[in-house]
Amino acid sequence: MPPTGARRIATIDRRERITLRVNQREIEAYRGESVLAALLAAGFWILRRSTARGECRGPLCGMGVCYDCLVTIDGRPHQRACQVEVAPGMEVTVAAGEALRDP
Amino acid sequence: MIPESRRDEVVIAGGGMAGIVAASILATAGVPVLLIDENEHLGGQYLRSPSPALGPSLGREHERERRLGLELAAELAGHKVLLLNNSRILGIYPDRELLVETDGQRTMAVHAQFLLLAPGARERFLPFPGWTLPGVLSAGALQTLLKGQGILPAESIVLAGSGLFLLAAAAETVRAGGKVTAVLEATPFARKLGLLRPLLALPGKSAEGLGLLATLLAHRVPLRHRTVVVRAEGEGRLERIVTARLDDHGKPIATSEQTHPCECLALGGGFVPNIELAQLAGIEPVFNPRRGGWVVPVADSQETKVDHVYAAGEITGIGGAAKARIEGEIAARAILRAMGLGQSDEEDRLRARLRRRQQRQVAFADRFNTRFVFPAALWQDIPDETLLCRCEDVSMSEVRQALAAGYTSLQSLKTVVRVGMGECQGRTCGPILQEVFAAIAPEGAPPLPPPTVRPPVKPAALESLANFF
Repeated sequence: MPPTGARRIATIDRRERITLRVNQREIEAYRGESVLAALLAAGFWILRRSTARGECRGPLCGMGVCYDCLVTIDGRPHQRACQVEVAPGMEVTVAAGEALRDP
Repeated sequence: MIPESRRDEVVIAGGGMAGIVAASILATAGVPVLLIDENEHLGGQYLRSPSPALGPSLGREHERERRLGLELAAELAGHKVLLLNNSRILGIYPDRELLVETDGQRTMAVHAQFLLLAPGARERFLPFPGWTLPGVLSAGALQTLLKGQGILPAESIVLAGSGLFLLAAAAETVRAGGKVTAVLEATPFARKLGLLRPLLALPGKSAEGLGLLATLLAHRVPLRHRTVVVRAEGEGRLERIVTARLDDHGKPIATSEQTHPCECLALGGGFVPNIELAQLAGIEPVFNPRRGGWVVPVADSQETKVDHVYAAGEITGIGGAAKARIEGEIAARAILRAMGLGQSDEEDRLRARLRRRQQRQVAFADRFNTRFVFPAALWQDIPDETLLCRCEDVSMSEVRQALAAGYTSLQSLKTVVRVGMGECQGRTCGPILQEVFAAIAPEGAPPLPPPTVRPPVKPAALESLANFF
C-alpha cells in the first residue's frame, strides 16, 4: 500500500502562497506555515539521519523539544523545522530522504 | 561588545494558558510585563492556532477553555505587554538575573523584579522497537499540525498509548476529515469507571469528555483497551505496526499479535512538567508520580521557595488548561499584592474562591493521572534493541547493562552510555529513564533524581553567545 502522505486541509483560510526550495527543488508553501508543515505537505517525512547509527528520522514532538526535525535553513545547520516559519525563497536542505511523491 | 540589558517589573516565562492569563491580569492593573516565549506565536500547546500570517482558522472551537484562552490572548495585544517571541531563557542567576536568547541570534541580560515560571509540559513516551521511524510522531505533534498548520499527516492514523489526550487528538483528526483506524489504550477499561464520579463534579470537564466520545462514536472510531503497539516496522519509514493485547500483569500476549499496515502512528503517554527553569533558579523539585513526576512545589500564592519567583500551570503538576488558567490568575494576583496593589476584602474572597477551584482541578487530576499509567511490566520488558535516547542512539540493552553495573544516576548513565547527551539535553529520554528505573528498582527505592541543569538550558548558537564573552 503506497503511503498517502500529508496534505493541507481546508480548516484554515490560507492567504499568501509562496515558494521555497528544498534540496534544490521548488515546493509550494503558504506564508505563516512552519517549515515542517511545508516539508510534510510536499512529501518529505524523512528529515535527517541519526548521529550514531545513521538511521532515518522525522518529526516526533512538533513543538521544539525533541530536535529530531533538524534541517539546514538558508545555510544555518541544526534548525528545528517545527519552530521556523517559511519565507519566500528560503533554501532548505534535508540531510536524508527523498520526497514520497513529486511535490 | 557590551550586551544589551534591561530591567523589568514582571517577567513571565511561557506564553501558554497560565502565562497569558497572568500577563492579562497584571497588564490590566497597569503593571508592565515582559512575556518570553519560545514559539513564534503566543498560546503554547493547548491554545495552538494558525499563525496570523497563514490565515484565520475556519473551524469551530469545541472547548470552552480554549475559547477563553484565545480571547485573552487576542486582548493582550492592546495591553502593556512586551512579547519576546522566538526566545529562550538560557540561564537564571541569583536575584532573578536572566540570560535570554532572542531569534537564535543574540543574547541579552534581563533583570526581573518578579519572575513567573509557566513553561508547561512535554510528552512522555513508552519506547518500542521502531518508534524512531519517520511516520511515528507524538499525539501532541498531530494536534499541533492539525490546529496550528491545517496539516493532516496521513489519510489514516493510528493513535496509541494512554490517556484522554489520545481521544482528544483522535477527535481532532476526524473533525479535520482524517480517518482514525484505531485508538489503542494500554490500560483496562474498568480503570476508567472510577473516574465517573469526580468527572461529574467538574461540569466543564464532563461536557468536554462527552463531546469527545460523541465525536468518536459518530465517526465509528474503534477504541481498543489493554492493547499496545509492540513494534513498528518499515524501510526507513513507518509501514506496519504490530499490536498486542496485554495480560493481567500488563505483559503483551504473544499469541494476540497482529500486523497492520500503517503510515502514521501518533503516540501519547501522558505529560511531564518542564522544571528546568525552576532548577536554574535554585528551586528543588519534589517527586510526585500523581502529578507527572518531578514538579515544582509552591505555596498557596504560587510563590516558590525562592523569593519573588512564582510558578503556575503544568510545572507545578500535570493538571490541564483549566488548572493552568486558575494558577496563572492566582500568581498574578499574588504578585500584585506583593507590589502593594490590589489589597481589599473583595480580593481576599476572590483569592479563596480561586484556591477552591484550583483544588478541585488538582483533585481531579490526581485521580485521572493515576488511572492512565502504563503497567510497570511494559517499562521493565522494553526489548533490548529499542532506542531510548534518540539523539545519541542509545539502546535499552546499553542502559540495562549500565544500570546492572551500578550506574544508577542520570549523571553517571550519561558518562558511560552517552544517554541524554544529545541536542534535546535529555528532555525526551530523561522521563523514559525515570520510568524504566522506577520499574526496575526494588519497591521503596528513591526515584531517579532529575538531571542537573546548567546554562545554556537549551542549545544556543555560539554566535548568539559571542557578544557575552
